[in-house]
Order: sequence, then structure tokens, then C-alpha cells
Amino acid sequence: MKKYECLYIVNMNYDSEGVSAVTARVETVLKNVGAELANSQHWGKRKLAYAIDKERYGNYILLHFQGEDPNVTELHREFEIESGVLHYMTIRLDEFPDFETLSVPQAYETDRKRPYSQGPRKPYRSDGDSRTETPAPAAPVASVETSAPKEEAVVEETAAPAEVVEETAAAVKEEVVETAAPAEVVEETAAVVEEEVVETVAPTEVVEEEAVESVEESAETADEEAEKPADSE
Amino acid sequence: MKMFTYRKKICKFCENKKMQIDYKNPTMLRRFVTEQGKILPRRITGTCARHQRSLVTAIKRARNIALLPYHNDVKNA
Repeated sequence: MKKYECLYIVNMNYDSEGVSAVTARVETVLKNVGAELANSQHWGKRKLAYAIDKERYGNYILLHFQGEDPNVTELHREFEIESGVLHYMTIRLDEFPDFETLSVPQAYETDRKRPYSQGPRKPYRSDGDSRTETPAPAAPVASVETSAPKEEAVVEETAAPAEVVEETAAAVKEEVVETAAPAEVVEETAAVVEEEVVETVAPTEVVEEEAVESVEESAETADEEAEKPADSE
Repeated sequence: MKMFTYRKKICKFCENKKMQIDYKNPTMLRRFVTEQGKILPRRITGTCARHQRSLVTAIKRARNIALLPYHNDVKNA
């Protein structure tokens, strides 16, 4: 009794029932001929390295069996008749491999789509990818208030004065929350500086005078409003 | 051409007995194959003659069963 190993590919367009029907028919042929099936392993759907009968994917099935040469001929005849089988290959072995340690090989297409501009492959680094670790420097105001480590990074990046460097993340948060737009807090973050500068620094003296006037007006209106509820009371 | 091959290379299969040449393992076989799918010569990979012969039969078997391509279209920039 010689030992054989057979690897064959079943068409993907057959649904799962079709594939198992094909494998059942193949195994019955082996039984009828008198070969002993030692192992059968389904690898599942794999991408083929090249198209076979215009098909790009196939179900790989591995068989190990003991038999004689005429059995192999019968098996191949069955493969030829069976329309679902795309391709097959049978090898004669001296010894069966260890069936428990047989592993399904990895898919081929995982590395194939690597673009040329990325350069040569580097060994896998388990400490993480450098591309995903750098935080965005231009952070909006809302995120500055909430995320502490980002504030520190942003603070370090901008040419910050000594005051800012000494402040911790918690202190910065409190100041930002309490005071709306004082100049010190504005200088801490580049993005906030840009926004505040547009709002406050850009206007000329005329606007400042208007602001003063508006402050006075608002004070008057505030007094009036204060008087009104007093009158009503 | 000889000046490029002066460095002594060790056969990976002689050095590491656990590496077995199996046609069903395309990820291992692809290390001995160019990007175009051609088999690399022994003086490049450093394998010994005995293992190169079994490696070549394994690559040809893998090509037969569509685990490795016969020819790869490599688009160079």
C-alpha cells in the first residue's frame, strides 16, 4: 500500500452544499476502489495565483490516502468527470506527515498589493507603527480642553514661554475653562492663537474706540435694566 | 561577478532543521523566488545543492497547483 497525497481545487461558484457533495463523491470513489483515506483537510477559499478556467478563487482540499496506482488513476478519472473540480495534483509520499500539526498556509495575496513606493519589506515590529503614534499638532479648542496629553504636546511644539511650560495639564484646563480669552491662555496653543488673533488683534483703533463706546453703552443699558426690575419690584 | 559572492552564506535548511521544504507552504517558498516569480539561483540565496534541488521541485509543484504563480506582472515606477 503506497502513500499518496492529493490536493485538489473545487470551484467557488458551488455553494457550501455543492462543495461538500463533491468531496463526498470523491471519497466514495476512493472507498469503492479500496483505498484507505487517512486524512482530509479543507483549506477553504483561497485566491489562486493565476486564473484557472477564468476562476480566480477556489476551495482547496487536501487528502491523504493509502492505495495502489490503479486507485490513483480512478481518482483522477473522477476528477476529470466532476465538473466542480478545477485542478488536482497527486504526489507519492514515503511517510505521512503529522496530521495534527498540518496548518493551512497563509493566503498569497496579503503581500502582493504592496505598492512599489513603500519600499522594501521591513520585519514586523510589535512595538507599534510610528505612523499612527504622532498626534495632530493643530488641535481645535474643544479638543484642547478635553485631552490632556495633546495639550502638553502642543504646548511643547509652540515656542511657549516659561509660564506655560511649568503649568501642568490640569492647571491649563482650569485656566482655559475659567477665563474665556485672556492673552496668556491664548498664547499657549497655536490654533487658539490663530483664532483669537483674528478676532481681537486684527481690528484697528477705530474698532477699539467703538468697543469702548459699546462698553459704555452696555453699562448704561445694564444700569437701565437694573433700574427696571427695581422699579417693577 | 565573483566579487559579489565572496561572503560565505549558510544554507537556511542545513542550519535550521525545523524548516522543511514543503510545496504547500508558499510563504516560505516565496523567499526563494523573485518578485517576477522566477526561482532564485543558489549563489544568491546560499542554499546547498541538495536543498536547492528539493526546493526547486517544491516550487514547481506549488506553481502547478496555483499556490505560486508562474509569472508575476511587476509594475515598476
